[in-house]
Amino acid sequence: MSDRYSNKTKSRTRVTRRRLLGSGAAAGVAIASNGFGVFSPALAQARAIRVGVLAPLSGVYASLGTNKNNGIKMFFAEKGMKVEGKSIELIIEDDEAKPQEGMRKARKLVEQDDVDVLLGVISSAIGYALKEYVGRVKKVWVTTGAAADGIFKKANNNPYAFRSSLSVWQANNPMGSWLSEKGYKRVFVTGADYAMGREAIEAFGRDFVLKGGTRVGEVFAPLGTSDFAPYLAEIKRANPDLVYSSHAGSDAVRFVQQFGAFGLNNSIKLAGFGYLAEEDTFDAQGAAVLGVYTGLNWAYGIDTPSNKAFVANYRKLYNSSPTVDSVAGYVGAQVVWEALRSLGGNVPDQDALGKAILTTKIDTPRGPVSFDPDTRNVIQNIYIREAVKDGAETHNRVLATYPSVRDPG
Amino acid sequence: MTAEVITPRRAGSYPIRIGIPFAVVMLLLAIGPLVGLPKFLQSLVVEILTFSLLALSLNVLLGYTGLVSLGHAAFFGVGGYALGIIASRFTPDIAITLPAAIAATVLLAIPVGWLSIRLSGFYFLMITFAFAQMVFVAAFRWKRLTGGSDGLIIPAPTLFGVPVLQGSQQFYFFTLAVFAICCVAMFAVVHSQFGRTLVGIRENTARMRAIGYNVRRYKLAAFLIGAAFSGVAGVLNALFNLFIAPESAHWTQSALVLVMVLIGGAGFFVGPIVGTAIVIALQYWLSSYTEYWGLVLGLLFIVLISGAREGVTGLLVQIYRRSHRATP
Repeated sequence: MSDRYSNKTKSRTRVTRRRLLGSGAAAGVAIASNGFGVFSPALAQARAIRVGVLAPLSGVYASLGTNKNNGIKMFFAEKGMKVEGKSIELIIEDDEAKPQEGMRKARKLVEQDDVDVLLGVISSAIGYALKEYVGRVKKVWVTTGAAADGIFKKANNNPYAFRSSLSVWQANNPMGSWLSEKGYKRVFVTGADYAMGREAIEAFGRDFVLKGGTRVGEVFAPLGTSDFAPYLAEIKRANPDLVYSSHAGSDAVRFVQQFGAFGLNNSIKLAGFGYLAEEDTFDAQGAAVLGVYTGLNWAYGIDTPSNKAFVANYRKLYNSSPTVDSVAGYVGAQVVWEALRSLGGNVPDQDALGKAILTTKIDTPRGPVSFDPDTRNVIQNIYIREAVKDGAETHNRVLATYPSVRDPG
Repeated sequence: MTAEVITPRRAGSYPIRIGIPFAVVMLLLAIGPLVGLPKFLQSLVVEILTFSLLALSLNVLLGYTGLVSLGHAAFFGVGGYALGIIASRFTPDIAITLPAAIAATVLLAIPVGWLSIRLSGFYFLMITFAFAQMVFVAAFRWKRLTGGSDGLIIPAPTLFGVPVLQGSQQFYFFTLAVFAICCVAMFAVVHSQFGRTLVGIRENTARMRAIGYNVRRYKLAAFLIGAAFSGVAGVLNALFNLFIAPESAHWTQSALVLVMVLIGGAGFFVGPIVGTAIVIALQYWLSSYTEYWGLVLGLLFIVLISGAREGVTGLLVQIYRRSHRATP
């Protein structure tokens, strides 16, 4: 969607998708005018810095995409949609979490809207494809998602592609050592049967086994499984002291619920990749999620002034708890903004912007963030969290912090 | 179905009637980049042409032979994956990857076609659907070969060791050429004696069998032709994105192509092209304004299916005929 956010032309461009939808006629006019405007050159007025945002706004990942965009919009709004006096314009497009459509929208942002920098993407498949594309067209892209390890490796390092979110390895590897140091010996691993679900288990398992733990069993369920009973029965038979799970989204909700309903959480500790127990799954998981250990690059309860301010502002603005995706959007925007600021609000060329991002070192709600020149993946803190009751709500508190975790690439 | 279009009464005049506008459109598209067609629209044209090819190949089955397949994108995916796997493991030389990928598609289509043409109607639809799901699951799960859900990055193509099709401009002309060749080839096929036999099978299978035609052999041939051109489309798409993901072979992709054909008009040779252009352009423009773009597409589909069974092309032809009848 061409949700153009800019300070200067607020009345005209602050049209949100939803408002447009409210009036079919307005949508029709907008479509028609865009149709005619395709061949017309870009607006001749002093050009704002254009930030192209790709996020899934329809389909199964729509809510993640919305959270991410909330974070991005919130950050730029805090800065008054300006950097060093230059205004910033956001052009938001729906990538549908599908490579074909996502790449089409990326080409639209680069080739038609001539954006100065790309931000976003959640799907790792789009991430892989987009990384090659931005290398070919030489356009800086900072991803706020696309966590698959393989996208940012030493072997395919490219000066235009950055990841400000996290790699699956980063979040899961520290959990292996931490849980083993906690004294857990026999782990049963489980997750969704696709690339990320397996990657997370592997990153966790290596260090857990190295430190003396054993894997007593593993089972992978298809994405979107609704009944985990057969898997839970298998877990029960193996009699582990720890279950490590990489389920996410609706799978995480059902897995945690049924894990509790089976009564397994009395005798077995449940732990996993951060998405197993995150702010957007707590409501549906209820009491079953309490006490679950997870690892991620952010926790609601991080006790720093910048996180507290972020959480408070976010809740005021959107009337809901921020999720790790909102923070990812916020931090991605912060990285881009800091790089633009260091360049004095200008983008002389894409190489300069890439260099500026590479040398960015900032304090974020997630803690200090910088980039690894070997992979252009983020270097950041990883938090070991526990889901606890916080008044009427459930939130993650920090149990341990692994500072400056760097993906080996 | 307008049988008239498919079996023209005045043989000979129809290819010219359709050939001239086709040549004009191709020519316009060919000079587009030279007169400043923006780069982005060039990519959109490439996508429309690629998916038109896929829709045209489906229409060989749907419009001409009367076989409704819900698994056609499987061949699109297989073509793309075959190209990607050969290019990343052996050589990105298109002199090898192109024919090999298309051959792989046809090779797979032989057993699938042999099995599915034994059934008709709903059962044919279900078996093609099941096959497409198998291809999707293979692409999704066989991580070592296909990259799994993360997809497969395809190395840039070469020809005899020299990098080719690098710029988007080059690829635009390449797609245009491949599209034109495939269109002419498919047109020739469906308007040949063979094509008329297919229409005969669609209209009355029992009668064709009684006359002495080996109906199954004809159906299989139509199936293989459809699969081959679908493979070509898959290869083009893979080379365009230099990436392929399991979504390409998903049944929703097959369904979307079916929608493209039906919106455009299955009874006309150009119907699938019209439908593809409408669907992709709508999807592209609408999704920039609302995440509910699918709703609009759905409404259009309902209106067309209930109001104009012959699709947009049928509507246009009707309007044209009426205006000509008014002034005899």
